Amino acid sequence: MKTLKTILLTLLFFSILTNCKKDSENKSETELLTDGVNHEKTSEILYFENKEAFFGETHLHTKYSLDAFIGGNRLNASQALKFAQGEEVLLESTGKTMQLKRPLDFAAVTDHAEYIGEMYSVLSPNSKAYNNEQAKSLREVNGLEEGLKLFVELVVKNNRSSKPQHLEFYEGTMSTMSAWEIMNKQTELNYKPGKFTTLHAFEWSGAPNGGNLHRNIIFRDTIVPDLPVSYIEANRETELWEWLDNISRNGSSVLAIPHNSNASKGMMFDENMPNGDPITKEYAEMRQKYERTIEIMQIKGASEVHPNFWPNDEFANFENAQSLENYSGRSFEEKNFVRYALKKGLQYEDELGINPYKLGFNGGTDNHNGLMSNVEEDNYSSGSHGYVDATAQDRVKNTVDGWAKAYDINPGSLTGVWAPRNTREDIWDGLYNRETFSTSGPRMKVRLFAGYEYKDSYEDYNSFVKDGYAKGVPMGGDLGVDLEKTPKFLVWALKDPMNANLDRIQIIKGWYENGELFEKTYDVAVSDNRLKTDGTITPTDAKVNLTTGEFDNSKGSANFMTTWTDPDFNPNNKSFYYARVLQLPTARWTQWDEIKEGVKYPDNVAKTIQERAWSSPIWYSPK
Amino acid sequence: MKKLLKDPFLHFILIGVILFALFRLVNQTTETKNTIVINDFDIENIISTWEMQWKRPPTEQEIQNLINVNLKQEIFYQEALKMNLDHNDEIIKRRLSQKMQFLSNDIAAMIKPTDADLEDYIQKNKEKYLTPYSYSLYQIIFSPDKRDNNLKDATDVLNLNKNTSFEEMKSKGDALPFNYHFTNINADELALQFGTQFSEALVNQELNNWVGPIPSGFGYHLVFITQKTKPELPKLEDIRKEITRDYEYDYQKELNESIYQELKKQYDIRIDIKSPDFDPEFVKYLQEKLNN
Repeated sequence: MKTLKTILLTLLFFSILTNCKKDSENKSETELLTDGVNHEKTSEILYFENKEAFFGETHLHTKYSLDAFIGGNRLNASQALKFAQGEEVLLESTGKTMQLKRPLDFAAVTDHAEYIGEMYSVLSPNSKAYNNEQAKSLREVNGLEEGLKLFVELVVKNNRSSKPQHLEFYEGTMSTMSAWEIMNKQTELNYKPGKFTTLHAFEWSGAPNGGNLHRNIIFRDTIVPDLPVSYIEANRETELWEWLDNISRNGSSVLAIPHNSNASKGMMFDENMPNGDPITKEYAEMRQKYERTIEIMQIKGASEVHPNFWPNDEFANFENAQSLENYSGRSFEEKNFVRYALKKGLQYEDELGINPYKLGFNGGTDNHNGLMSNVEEDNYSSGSHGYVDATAQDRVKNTVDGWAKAYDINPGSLTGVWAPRNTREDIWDGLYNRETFSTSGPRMKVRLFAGYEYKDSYEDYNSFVKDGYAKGVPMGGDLGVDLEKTPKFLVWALKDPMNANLDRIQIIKGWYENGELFEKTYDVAVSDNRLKTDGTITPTDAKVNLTTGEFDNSKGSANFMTTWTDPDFNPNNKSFYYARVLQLPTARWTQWDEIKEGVKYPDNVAKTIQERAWSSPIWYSPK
Repeated sequence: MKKLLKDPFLHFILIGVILFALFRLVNQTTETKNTIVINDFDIENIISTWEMQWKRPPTEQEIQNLINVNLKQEIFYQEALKMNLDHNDEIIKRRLSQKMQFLSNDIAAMIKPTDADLEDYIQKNKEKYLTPYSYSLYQIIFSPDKRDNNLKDATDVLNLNKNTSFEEMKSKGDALPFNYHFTNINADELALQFGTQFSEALVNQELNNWVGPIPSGFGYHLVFITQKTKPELPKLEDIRKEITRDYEYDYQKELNESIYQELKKQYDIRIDIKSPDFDPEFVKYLQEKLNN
């Protein structure tokens, strides 16, 4: 019997090996996948008549991103998506396990399209280039120092130059297609309509001379092209839009979401197009067509405002990643920030007839360690980038190469989407319609409506929201023009049940008048009766216990619901309005590190922060 | 017998026999010594590899060169095999052992689980697939936003309203954007709305009475639970995709291990460590461990 088994096994081995050479390809990565993807029955998908806020991630890297792999990330899309659904994952580089406190509602994996083909070769033992020296050195990287050397050699010199190239062992289009296919399959397998939505996506990582122009490309359905487009084929955003236009003609529905305008060296909202000419109507049209929201905050800083240029915004000093200016020849400029772009967009609309920067807000992490939306300050024990910030001891001293000090990085932000159902179509449509908001981490919810026929006050939430839709437009929309009437705004916010109470809601208004741009901030709802008769507000005295991390929930509000009218409304001015919700102070992640790990951060590192949410704007556009 | 039919190793053997037979049928003519045949399949492979790299088809001259290069590689490869040059080469070892694993993975993938297999699998991994608790309940909130002492208010209302109607009770709490009445809401959804502290506290509450105060991020709640469904195993149909994926993954691992163990039985593993750096007890321990 023994020998028979041996003979049979050996024969089996050789017969299969000679006859099925082709068969074993792809097996290393696809082995976990079944062929027939059929989604579970759809009858139980909950429908929310007045829409519900779904929280998710729109920006995350797995081992298929070259820089993430070098940083020690060994999670694939499926594992990252499992983490998003609340499962525990093991980080191989440190041996630590990580888990979200609460599962997400939706998620997109956005690997850098540039080198997914190379990563396929690195990860597939049957690929020709698997044993190439460079591919081997990638697999064998151990720890930060070695990784850094390779990172500089392969990524920085290459991808942040003006003409990036494939690595020497690139096997061609087929390898890119294989990688893309694997990623899409894993995305598909984790889609549970009604419960957990996955979106097909990738990141186009254009960064000419280190100026960040990255965009995440997100698809509505399974109609995706055979190949993603990368910085190597499309050198600037204009070429990217052309590509998007092309695939749209072939049936894809697709969005491009820019991020890190704060690090764009003046290029994200430049007055000139890539060819050096001033922005044209055609450019503005393409931009508005595909770029509906912007990632207003992520691990490498918030892009809303900066205290240098908004000295009167008392809340502008928030996760600005100040040391960005010390690396890659960057400096802070007003025109890198979203509030500037929103105002400038009004001017373009006046001049060109179309607003190129009609941007709603969403959030993401850009985590390179595979941890989807790991946004909670007290759960940042594995950092966001890999080896460089994997432990508190690393975070105290290290620099995320080319970007910022590890202690200036934050855990990133969340996207909230108002949608009637948690399905791919509904989530994507919410993004497209800009009925979205971003939070700096907590799951607070914010609603904003504008219309002319609203009541001055509402008894309950349901009639408030119902009127919101019936008699006006939600966030992300356009308030129609009625020169005879004054509009009203319905503003609402609800705290995160597992985080601090709310401090206040502000409405931020920008407008264009007589060739000039203006802005003004209004406090429309404030907790604890702190609004004084002169319109100013006593700052909250809610404290954070710096030795335990506890916040003070005896102050603040759980919920705001109010009707607001703009006291300075001028029906002739093009304008926008967005809401900013502030939470009471809580401990920043660095403080949690000091409490839990006994490390000490420099004194200039913030100990507490006021987390916040930003609603997408509503625009008012008289001719 | 039933157990034997389920033995992965038996499956392995049966498939082996079939493949062996097929192999003999297909390959009768080509097995001659020292002949190298380059057929359509090979040439197609050569050309498509070239096209991948150069994004154009090769010229005739280039095809000839490519064949030459491949031929040289094949002949050297054959001769190297004869000279046993592949022996004890670390890279070849690793690669071949990997291929063995792929083989067993392929074989595992051929065997599609039956419904009975899946049902059995669910039973064995119960805790992983149990649905969360689910409730039908009424709740009112006492929010600190509007009260000086919301805990006391909640307690007072509870004590004074043991038999108040649902209609009346509704107005005792504060207006927050939540339902008063939930039907069949599971603990996960409750946790998303009110936080995990709240949903976890419901497990041990008595039914059909107003109970509380139960804290959440929004204040103190009074709750009237009319129905509680304990965690249960979902029906196979509802989680077929998930179960099949998990089953196949586990089965693959199992088959891999069983093949390895079978093969290992053919070998006598001896530890021959004489270095004084090692404790002889440890060597003995190793010897025992590795043969099990």
